[in-house]
Amino acid sequence: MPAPIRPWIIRGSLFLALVALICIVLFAVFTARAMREAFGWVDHTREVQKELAQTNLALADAAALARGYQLSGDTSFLELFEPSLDRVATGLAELRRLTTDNPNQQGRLAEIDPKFQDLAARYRRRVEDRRAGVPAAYIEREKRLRDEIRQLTAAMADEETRLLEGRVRRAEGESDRAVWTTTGAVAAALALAGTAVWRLRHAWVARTQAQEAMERALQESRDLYNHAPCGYHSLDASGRFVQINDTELRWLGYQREEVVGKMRFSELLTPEGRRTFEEAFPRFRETGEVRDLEFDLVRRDGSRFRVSLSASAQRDAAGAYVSSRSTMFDVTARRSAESRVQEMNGELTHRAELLEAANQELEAFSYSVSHDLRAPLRHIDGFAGLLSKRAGESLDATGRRYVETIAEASRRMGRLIDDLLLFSRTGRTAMHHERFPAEALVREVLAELKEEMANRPIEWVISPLPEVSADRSLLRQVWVNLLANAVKYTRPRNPARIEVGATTDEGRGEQVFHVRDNGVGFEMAYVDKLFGVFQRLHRADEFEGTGIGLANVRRIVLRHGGRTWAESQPGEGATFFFTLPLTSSSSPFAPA
Amino acid sequence: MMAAVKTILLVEDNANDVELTLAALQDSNVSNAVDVARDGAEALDYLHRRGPWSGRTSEAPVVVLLDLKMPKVDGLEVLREMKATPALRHVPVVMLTSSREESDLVRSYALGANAYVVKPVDFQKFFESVQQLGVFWALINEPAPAATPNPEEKP
Repeated sequence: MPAPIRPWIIRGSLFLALVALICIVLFAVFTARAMREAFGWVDHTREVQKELAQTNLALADAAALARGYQLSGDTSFLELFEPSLDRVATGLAELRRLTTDNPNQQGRLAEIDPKFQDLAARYRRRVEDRRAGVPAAYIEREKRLRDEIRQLTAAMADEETRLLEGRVRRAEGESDRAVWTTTGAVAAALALAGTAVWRLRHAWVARTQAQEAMERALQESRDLYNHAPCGYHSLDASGRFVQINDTELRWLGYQREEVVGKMRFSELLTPEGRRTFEEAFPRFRETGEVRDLEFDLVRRDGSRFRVSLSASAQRDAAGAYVSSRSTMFDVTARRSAESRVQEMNGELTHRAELLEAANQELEAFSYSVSHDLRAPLRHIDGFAGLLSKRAGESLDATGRRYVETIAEASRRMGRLIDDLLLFSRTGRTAMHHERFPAEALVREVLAELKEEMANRPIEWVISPLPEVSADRSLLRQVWVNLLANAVKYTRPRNPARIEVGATTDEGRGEQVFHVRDNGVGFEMAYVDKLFGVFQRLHRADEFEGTGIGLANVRRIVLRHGGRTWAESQPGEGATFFFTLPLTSSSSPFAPA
Repeated sequence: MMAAVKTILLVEDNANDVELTLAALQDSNVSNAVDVARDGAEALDYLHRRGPWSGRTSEAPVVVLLDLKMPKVDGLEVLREMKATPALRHVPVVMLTSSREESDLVRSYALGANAYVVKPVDFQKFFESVQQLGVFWALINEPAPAATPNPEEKP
């Protein structure tokens, strides 16, 4: 992970380096000027010393010329005598000018001047004396003046040398300081520039790494783009392909070179698809989006396939439509699955309708059959009754038994038909759900069965029962049947024991009720027949009944969305179970 | 007293049921004459005194024992017309039928039936039912006066 690039550090470093460089240049300029000044002073000192030497020389010339004329009388000596003195005067004036800024030198020159005037006067007198013929005498005073002047000029030369040395030393010091300062500044500039360069290098590395990462990400995106399970493409404003992924190319059967920049999307549409598109396009332009547009596309080989397309529009800064990006799915398989599901649904609905019709027909049939059967039965019983009433006396015992059997058989058939009617009705009557305590209902039913239990030793064990949501009158039939059955089939037991209880099965979301007896029981092999219509496991002369009760129980429980089953061992008693959904607000077995 | 005894109208298409009902009524204390109509159309003729019954001079019946399912005009239609006819609307109508069907019960009472009796299959019970009906409606129940005005005349 490269350190973050901080541009202000680089900018700062470069700025400081620039400042350092400017300082170096200024310093160099300053130092050069100081040096030039120092060298100017060297020239000045040389000039002063040269002037001093020439002045001394001119004075020496004047002395020598004066003495030579005195000794020889040759006037040729005089030719150069006065110019030499002038030269000395000029030299002194020049020196005065050269040393105007130095009071010491000016002071010395002021000392020299009267001595020179004095000396020059003495030299002239000597020349005059010779001309006049006065004997020449070498006067001690001239020699002393000359020495004094020489000493003063020597002191001047010394001073100049001393000044020069000081100035050179100062210039050298400045030069040294300039060298050090420059070196330091250069070092600082180099360090700063180095920092900047290091930073830049660092930044460059980071950028390279970022670029590589981006390259990889781009590669990955491209890979995902191309191998996605859906088609992707981008179109320019004229609808021409700008980009398309491999998946979509594969679907269409084209090569990328044939499509990108060459084909328009509309070329792939069927006339119908083009209409779909033209209808959707204005809205797309307006909202910038289209979702799940379904239409057919034409492959290169002319075959068609169904796609679902979603697209978004790209706009420029002015909001004008520039291009579109689309995602699409091949929905051919889904479509065929859908149509298959639809077909199957249709078939199911049709079958359900047929079943419903058949069921209704059956109900109507059983209803009318029951009714139509009741009338002749009533007549059989009625006329058998009338017969015994009118002719009873004249019949013998066998005859009376026959009439009685006729009546009894018809009554039994009447009960069967009544039960069948009841059964038919429990399947058809509208259900009215209400919440009530199951225990109260059980107690109510028990009170009703009292007559059948008269003089029977029955031990009842009734556990607390929950509140239920059900059709009260239908559920009452369930309890009547189950409890009456328990009472009936425990008839040989002394004492009979009948348990009623309930448990809650949270997992299945149901309440499980049971009625357990210690009666005659049944063989589990026949358990499947138990809840069938007119199915009996005992002969009528053993236990009376029509075989419709448990069928009714099952039908009612089913209509409430519950289940029924039973467990038993012959001679050991039986347990009957039924369930009700914990929230049986509506039943899937609603009446037709 | 005998002249004041009104008839009982039995509307029943089944001859066996007619015979059993008549036998039961004969066996009881009810002395009222019983007229029999064999279907709904005949019952309406009887009640409106028209067709074969145009010469009937007796008063409106003390009770009509009306079967539900009959050819031509069924019991419910007879009931509807009776209750819609001012002169007949006070005549008690007892539905006497094999049907215990809830829809039949509901429709009968909705049309203004005064009672609904399911014919028992058991001869003894049937006998008893018919006799009790006869006794109640012919002897115990006080019929409406002949000129009872209609509380709400239909527009």
